[in-house]
Amino acid sequence: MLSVEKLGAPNLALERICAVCREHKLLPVAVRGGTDPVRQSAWALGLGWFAPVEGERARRLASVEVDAAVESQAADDSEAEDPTTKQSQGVAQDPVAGQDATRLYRGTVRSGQQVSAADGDLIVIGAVNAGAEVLAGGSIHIYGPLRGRALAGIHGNLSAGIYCRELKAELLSVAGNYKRLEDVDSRLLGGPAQVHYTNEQLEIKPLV
Amino acid sequence: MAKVIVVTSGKGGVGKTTSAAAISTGLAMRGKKTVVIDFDVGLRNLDLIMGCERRVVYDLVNVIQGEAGLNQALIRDKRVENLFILPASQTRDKEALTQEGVKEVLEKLREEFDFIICDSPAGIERGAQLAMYFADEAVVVTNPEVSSVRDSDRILGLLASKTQRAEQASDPVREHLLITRYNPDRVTSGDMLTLEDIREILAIELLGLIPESEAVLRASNQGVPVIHESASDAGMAYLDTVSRLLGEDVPLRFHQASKKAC
Repeated sequence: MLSVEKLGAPNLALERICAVCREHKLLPVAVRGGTDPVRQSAWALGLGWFAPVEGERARRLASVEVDAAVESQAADDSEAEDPTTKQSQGVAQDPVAGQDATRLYRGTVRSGQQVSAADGDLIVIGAVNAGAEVLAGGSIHIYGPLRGRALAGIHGNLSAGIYCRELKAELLSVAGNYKRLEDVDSRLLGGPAQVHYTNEQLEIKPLV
Repeated sequence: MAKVIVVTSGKGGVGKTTSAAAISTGLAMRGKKTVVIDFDVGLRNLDLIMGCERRVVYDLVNVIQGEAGLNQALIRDKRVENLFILPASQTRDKEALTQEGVKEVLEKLREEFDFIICDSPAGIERGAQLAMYFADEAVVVTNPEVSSVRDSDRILGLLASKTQRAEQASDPVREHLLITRYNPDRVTSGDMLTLEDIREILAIELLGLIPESEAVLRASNQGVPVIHESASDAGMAYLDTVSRLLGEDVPLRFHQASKKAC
């Protein structure tokens, strides 16, 4: 859980914070507090969001601010050192590592289930039903109907795509740019489709 | 070997208890020693549908907490031999159900019975999770309606992850689809989802299809499981369902519009 309620910054590079967490074998699941943009990017990354804590607990948080300050200093340090940052980005974009992280899921992803490939592509051989959610750091390929939510490029990869045999998705998102079922041209529904981020918007085309 | 079968749905009011009562009665009529357990602590209904509400003394919670023996709590059905009912507690807190307790009760029942039918409460909370946890098979009751189908989908997800079979990575729980309150005329007019729609979304084997029927309401209010009304459409459909559960190949009926089926 990332608590940012004591942080003044209106915008956060949440994808990068999450990437750093993962490098250190920490799996971020939710964000607490923060501005609306923070909340939206948390949501786009497939993280939960919680309202800031008030009263008793909030004061306890404030009292350990010293530690937080040390941590933020450390974070500043690592950001100051360009090579470290570059290296970490290099690892994330390593094509071999990306292939290793590809996940294949056989079967129906049912309502309430979440299937994710955090650092690679996700391939589903089966249906993604309404109320289900599939997430990937890379692209999402669904050899079946997509009736639930699909979020590709959750760490900000704009070149990720979503491909499915039958488009009936509740939500489509590439790197946080999303369309709801309501926003999708009804002529595209029910057919095979591909979703990409082009010209600064989410483009949905038939898959031919 | 005894089989534990959970009758579940997620959504309420779709016909879980009606189906659990009919299926357990049907199995007993076919000579299988069967017990049906009500897991709906606090909202006990099975005893009413089975028509034994005046004979309830002890219940599942009493047995789990050691206040009564299993044989004291089991109610013998008056109409069919080989059929027993284990009612739920109406007054206790549902926290009284523990996994360890349920396990012990089921283990004892497994020694004596061929079939143990667990009538799940609606929802996906503790009661529903405990009802399905030890199941070998599941009958997922679904109405031809979008919210019911979605809730069934959710339950199927839980059956594949939150059961003992899933956690021990043994053979998965065998899942059966039972569609109830099916009205072919309303399906034709587009008011209801079609059989094919439901099968496509849920992607599990169809066990049976029960038509919407006046016989069901009448039977419930009289406390006679509808399968006893063997001349009614719903009664016949449940008889078919039980046959299929026992591995017989019975053609589907009552799924076509207007024309009298069979």
